[in-house]
Amino acid sequence: MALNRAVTRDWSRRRAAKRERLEAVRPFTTGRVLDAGRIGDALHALLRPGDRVALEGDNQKQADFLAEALAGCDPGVVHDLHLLISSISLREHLDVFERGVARRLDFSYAGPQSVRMAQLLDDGKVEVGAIHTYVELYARMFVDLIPDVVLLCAEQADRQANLYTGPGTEDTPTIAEAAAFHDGVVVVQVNELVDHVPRVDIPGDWVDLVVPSPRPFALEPLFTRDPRRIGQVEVLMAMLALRGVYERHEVTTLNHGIGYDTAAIELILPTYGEELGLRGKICKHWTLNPHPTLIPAIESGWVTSVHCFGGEPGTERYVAARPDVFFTGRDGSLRSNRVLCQLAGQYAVDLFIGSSLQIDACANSSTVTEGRLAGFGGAPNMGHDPHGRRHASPAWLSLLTGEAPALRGRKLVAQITQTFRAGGVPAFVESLDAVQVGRDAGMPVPPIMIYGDDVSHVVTEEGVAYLYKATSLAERREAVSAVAGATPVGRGVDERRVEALRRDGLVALPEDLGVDVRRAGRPLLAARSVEDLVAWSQGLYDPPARFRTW
Amino acid sequence: MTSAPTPPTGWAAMLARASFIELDARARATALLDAGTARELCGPFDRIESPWLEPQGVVPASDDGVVVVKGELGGRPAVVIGIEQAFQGGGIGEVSGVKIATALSLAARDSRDGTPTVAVLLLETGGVRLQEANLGLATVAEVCSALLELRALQPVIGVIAGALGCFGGMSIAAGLCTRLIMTAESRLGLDGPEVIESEAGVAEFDASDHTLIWAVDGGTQRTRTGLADTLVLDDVAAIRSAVLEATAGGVPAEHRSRRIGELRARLEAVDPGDPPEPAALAAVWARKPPPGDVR
Amino acid sequence: MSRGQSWTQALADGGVRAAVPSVITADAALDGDAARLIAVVPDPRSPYHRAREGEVGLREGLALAEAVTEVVTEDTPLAREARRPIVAVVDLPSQAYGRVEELLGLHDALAAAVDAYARARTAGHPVITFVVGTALSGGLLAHGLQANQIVALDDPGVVIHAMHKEAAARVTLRTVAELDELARRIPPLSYDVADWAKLGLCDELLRVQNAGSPTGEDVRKAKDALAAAVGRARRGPRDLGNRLTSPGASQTRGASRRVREALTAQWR
Repeated sequence: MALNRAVTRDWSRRRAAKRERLEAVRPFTTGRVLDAGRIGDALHALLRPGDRVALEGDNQKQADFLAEALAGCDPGVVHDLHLLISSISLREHLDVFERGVARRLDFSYAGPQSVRMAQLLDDGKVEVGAIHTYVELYARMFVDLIPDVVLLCAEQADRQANLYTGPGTEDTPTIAEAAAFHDGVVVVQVNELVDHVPRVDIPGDWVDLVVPSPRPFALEPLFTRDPRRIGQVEVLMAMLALRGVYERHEVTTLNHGIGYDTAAIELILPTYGEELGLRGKICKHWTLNPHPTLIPAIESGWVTSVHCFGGEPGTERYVAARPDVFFTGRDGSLRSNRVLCQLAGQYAVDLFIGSSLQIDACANSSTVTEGRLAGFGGAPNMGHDPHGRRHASPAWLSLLTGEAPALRGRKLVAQITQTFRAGGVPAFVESLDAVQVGRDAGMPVPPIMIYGDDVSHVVTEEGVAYLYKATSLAERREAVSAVAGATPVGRGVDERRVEALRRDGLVALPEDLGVDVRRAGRPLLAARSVEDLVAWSQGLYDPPARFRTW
Repeated sequence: MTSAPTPPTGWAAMLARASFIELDARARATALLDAGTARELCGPFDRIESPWLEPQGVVPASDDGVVVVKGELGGRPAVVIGIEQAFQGGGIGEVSGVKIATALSLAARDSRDGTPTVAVLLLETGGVRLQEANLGLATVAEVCSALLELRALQPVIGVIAGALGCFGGMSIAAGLCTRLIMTAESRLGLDGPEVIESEAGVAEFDASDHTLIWAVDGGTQRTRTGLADTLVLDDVAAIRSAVLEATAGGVPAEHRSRRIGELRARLEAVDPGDPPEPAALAAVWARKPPPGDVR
Repeated sequence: MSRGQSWTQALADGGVRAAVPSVITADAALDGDAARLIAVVPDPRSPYHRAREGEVGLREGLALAEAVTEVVTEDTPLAREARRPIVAVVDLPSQAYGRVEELLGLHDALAAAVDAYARARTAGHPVITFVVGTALSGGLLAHGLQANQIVALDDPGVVIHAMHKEAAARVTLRTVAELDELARRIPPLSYDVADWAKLGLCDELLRVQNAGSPTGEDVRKAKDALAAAVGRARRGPRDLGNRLTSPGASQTRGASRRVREALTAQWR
């Protein structure tokens, strides 16, 4: 009897369902091309209540036309959707919940919508499955969060639905793969339909429907920092990082978080770094978006290779003209890929360095602040020591840890911040806001961005703390305090103890590192304005309008 | 290790330049004057501060954000008056305004008394400092009056270098200058984009649209349309040489602000209900104004 | 009718002329002098849509410059002391905030007006400003603040300031109530004409019966005040030096005087 049931079981229900869905949208299509004017009808025909839908909201590009159409669906017909969005960036992403079209949400980051996100959660309009990091959310799309329908975006499609994503490939291939090979429906908004795409980023046979969007998808220049806004304190911290971390540990492979602190490091490589004779010795291989502030270092011969998570508006022509450095397609333009770059960032690079809004005495850090539910993005993926790593490098080995025979190296995870942020707000705090926010939002664990026991270095304008050398939690706390300046955390250690920490190598002040504080100033920046970056690129960099001051 | 390819001359010059705008007002004033001749008057040690800021919770500056430096320009007596953009957005208050006006008047007095003294105004300002509202406004009028007094005797050269620009009442002072030198990064206008957007709405002026802003207010456009005279690179040597050249030109027969017939012709050339694109304005006006020189 | 219109009409001896609809001129007998009155008034049909409510825009800046220059040119042959007084009748909401204004260079048009007024003053024309309504910001710089003498009506409808209250509150991140509170302690911030008069800029505050629509007695009183101001202007300096020596200035502009003294002393 049991055997009989097993034999008659239908093993292709998803495939049948997909066929039915595509049949239902046929009135709105010509071949695989969906009529943009009928997108609402098409979504109503395509979607079933309770469907799991991945809506492409990447860190940078947004399938905004499809998001708008989804938010406009009739909740009487389409409801209780389970949405997967890596980055909640548009108001439509949350309109979907406010209108009752979707109920459940798994996401990674909600920075631009973080206040409203917290409000909707409070109002019971959204059930959060989990707040992920980028890699986790994509990974789960292949395990227990396999999407039924995915709504994506690309620059161009040809008649066979081959897709060209342009430089900002980001997450499109990954999400498409999760659906295409598990009988989900792949819908893509494209900026234009063409006869021939310049290169195939996603093969047409993964794609079910293409809709020409009435306007190009939204794309934000998130990785551009104007050098005019870098001050002397950032330059000082960059000098300390260069000598106290990069030079000391011979860091050749690395990732930079985004911010003025790391932009300052990029900009003093051709000046201060050159003076120290470090070119060719450090900072050769990067996992990094095409930061405009990296252009002077590239042009000065510092950089051998850069693999990118996504693109950056304005860098297209520059990147295309530097194929030895960047990954480019046969059309010449950048090919990025977030998941692969994240993987590279975890397992192939020796250093992650990034800024944080708050750091506690144990070096736990977070960008979560009161009243906002911003999520994680990809920083925790980069900002941790991956225990699965086995290959050695001088930098990794310089943080040797463990007991014989289980000796291993460590990834360098550095936090860089001024002791006080703008407006006199201390960066070092007794308790992270994240702890309270996590409690208020009913999260199972506090939303800590980077765990203190993963942090190997803390860099401030006071100096560098070498936390990996700490033999106890108490020692780690003292080392953090020693560089936390006049903040409440910084007052937790006395001068004699700091002297001892310096002797033991847990803390280094500028003079210990040979850093002349008087030289810290904007003249050390290889580019001091966006115009300078354009000049370094020999006119190949086209800054977005908002960064133009001429 | 590959070495960087040699950039074309223009880009190389751009990167090799000593940026003027990176300097503070004091250093800018000193850099313009002949080496070794600079002497600051009413400097920080005189501690003449604005009396109006502290009661409003604003920390005053001991020079009130304006530096007055006497010296020589090409061997001729000169005074450089620099507005420090980092202090209160270059806003003109009672003390800073009177500093400018008095320096211009004293230069005029010397010029009348046989010591011809030229003046250079470094105009990095958002206009009247709101914390001193009516007194700021009054001193801007006094600046204009003193500028006109000196302008009749000796050149008064305006320099607008930085991206902050020259806006508000001081833009009128800029319009009165004998000659006006701008960089491509700098802007000149009466009402700034944010002010227009907040008064008249985003349809009137989108203050987030940098392309529009510089197309209207930018140094390139102002020079191209004859509202400024010289477009220079943000470079100490280039700006100094432009200033020297402008002062050498002496007092013109007719100043820009006296060319009322030209102003009328320009307004008549444009239908305000259907104005030309900013890029087309220079051509529309080309019949009348002499073009500024571009270097 | 705007205050600027009604006062110009009331003071005029003879017709009121309009070079452009928004800038009117007239002549008025002031104690034997034939003074030229100039006012900026609303023009609801102005092709400049941001300058229809009496704002000083491009056309107004040019017309003011032309009107003042005309008087100066006509009187050039006369002896300095015989040159006619020019009275700027001031009632204007502000300069014109607009895109076409900036495109064509409003600062340049206002500079032309400022230049013309200052030129008239230095040529010996008594330049008198008569504030009968609002007088704000760049509009006042172009039409009013280059005068030898400033007379203002003592009336709640008279507001002299660098920025209107709502905008000032927005820019300084304060509420209107907070701004009012602050203005009680800090005279230059005040919107009250009586406080403004203490800054040393005001040569006479004039109380009338009907500031919006002057009575016969109001007009006589105003003419007397303007004639007196013309007399003071003829006797006084031709620059704006009196602004720092006035009784009001000795109270409120101590810092100005200190700067001037120190700078003069160090100038050598």
